[in-house]
Amino acid sequence: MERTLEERISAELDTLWQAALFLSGGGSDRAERLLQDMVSVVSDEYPGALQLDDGSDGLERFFVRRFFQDAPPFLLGSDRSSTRGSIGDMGSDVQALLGDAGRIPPRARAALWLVVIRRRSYADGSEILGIDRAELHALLEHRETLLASLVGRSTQRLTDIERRIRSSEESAS
Amino acid sequence: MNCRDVREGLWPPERPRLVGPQVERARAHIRSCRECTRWFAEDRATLDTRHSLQSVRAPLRVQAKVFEALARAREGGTRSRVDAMRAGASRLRKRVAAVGGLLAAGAISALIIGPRLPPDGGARAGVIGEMGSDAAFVEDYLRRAVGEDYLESSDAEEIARFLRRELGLHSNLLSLAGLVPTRVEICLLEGRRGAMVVYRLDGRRVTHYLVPKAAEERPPRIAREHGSLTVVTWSTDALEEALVGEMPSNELLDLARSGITE
Repeated sequence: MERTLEERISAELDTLWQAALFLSGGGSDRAERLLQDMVSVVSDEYPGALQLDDGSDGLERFFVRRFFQDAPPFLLGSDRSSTRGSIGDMGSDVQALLGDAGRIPPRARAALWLVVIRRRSYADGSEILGIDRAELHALLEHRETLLASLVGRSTQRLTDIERRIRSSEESAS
Repeated sequence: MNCRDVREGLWPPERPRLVGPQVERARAHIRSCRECTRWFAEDRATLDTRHSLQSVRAPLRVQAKVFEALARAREGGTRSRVDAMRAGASRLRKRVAAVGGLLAAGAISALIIGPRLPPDGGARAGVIGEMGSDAAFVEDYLRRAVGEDYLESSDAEEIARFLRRELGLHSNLLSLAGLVPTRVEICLLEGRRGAMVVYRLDGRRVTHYLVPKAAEERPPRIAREHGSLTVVTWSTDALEEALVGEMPSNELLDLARSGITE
């Protein structure tokens, strides 16, 4: 039973929004623009473009693949004003993650979104992006940049907790 | 087995997998490799953040813009319309607050007034009943949720063009003796973009909701009587539909049945 495009977008909208935030490198303004552009493209090509992605995640696959093949020019410049837009209700760790994503080349962002964030296998990631495994591995090298600040925060939190435990133990003794 | 093979072979680490010789070798590698141990530890350390990101919901403002973009893309049919879309989307913001009130009320999923099915359309659904969302029709009717994207017209052709342009609906309006269309509006119900066509019948107002949504065919039934308001819902394979009006329930039900079969 063929679903309408509205139906498919509704079903995947939250995931598409999350992907847009990540792929745009933070800032809701850019994410909104990216998502609207994607909707325009998929509308032109529907349903043909999605026939091979006939699953519950078909639009996400289409979105990420298109972004990988042809990232919008407005995401490639260094115009800092384009990163505006409040994402303040997402928590500082998520904001840090999105901010770090913005320091990574767009093609690597697409690979990291699929594999690191969405937990797809390397085989799936290669198939969706249309690249071989070696190229995917190379793109995923940017994982260090993506996770650096998060791991640093996490490590700092653990250090703080350990310090508080030691302090309370010392005062108890 | 090198680090690359191990990381790929055990990815994602939380996924259950059969423990064969390959997996055992990979795990043994991790135990003896500080880099791979660190690599997987870093992944665990970001678990909460990844989950937080994947629980982010698309704000109502974004939902509205997306469906506005879709409508305009359908109208223009090419990417060159994107900029125009973006400009047009701004007017939608003004009404988002009102729609937000409706959606926050937690009512519905989607209804639509209903034109007939497209030639290839069948009939699915019953989703409204499943969701217990009949109240949303009433909410939307009472609040006039979306006050701007509308067309005031008694010209059925003009209203049909509006529906084609905004929602891609190639269907007929209800056509019964004495039933006169007066207005069509876009509505947003839990993120679904639909339309409501307002008719006059013997001086009374009847509103027909149409919400594109895959569903199973369900004939008209009286879904709710809310004070003087009656709601009749049904669905086709492509639309959830409802009639809302201040008239006796049997009369509204007959109207829905006539509108479908004629």
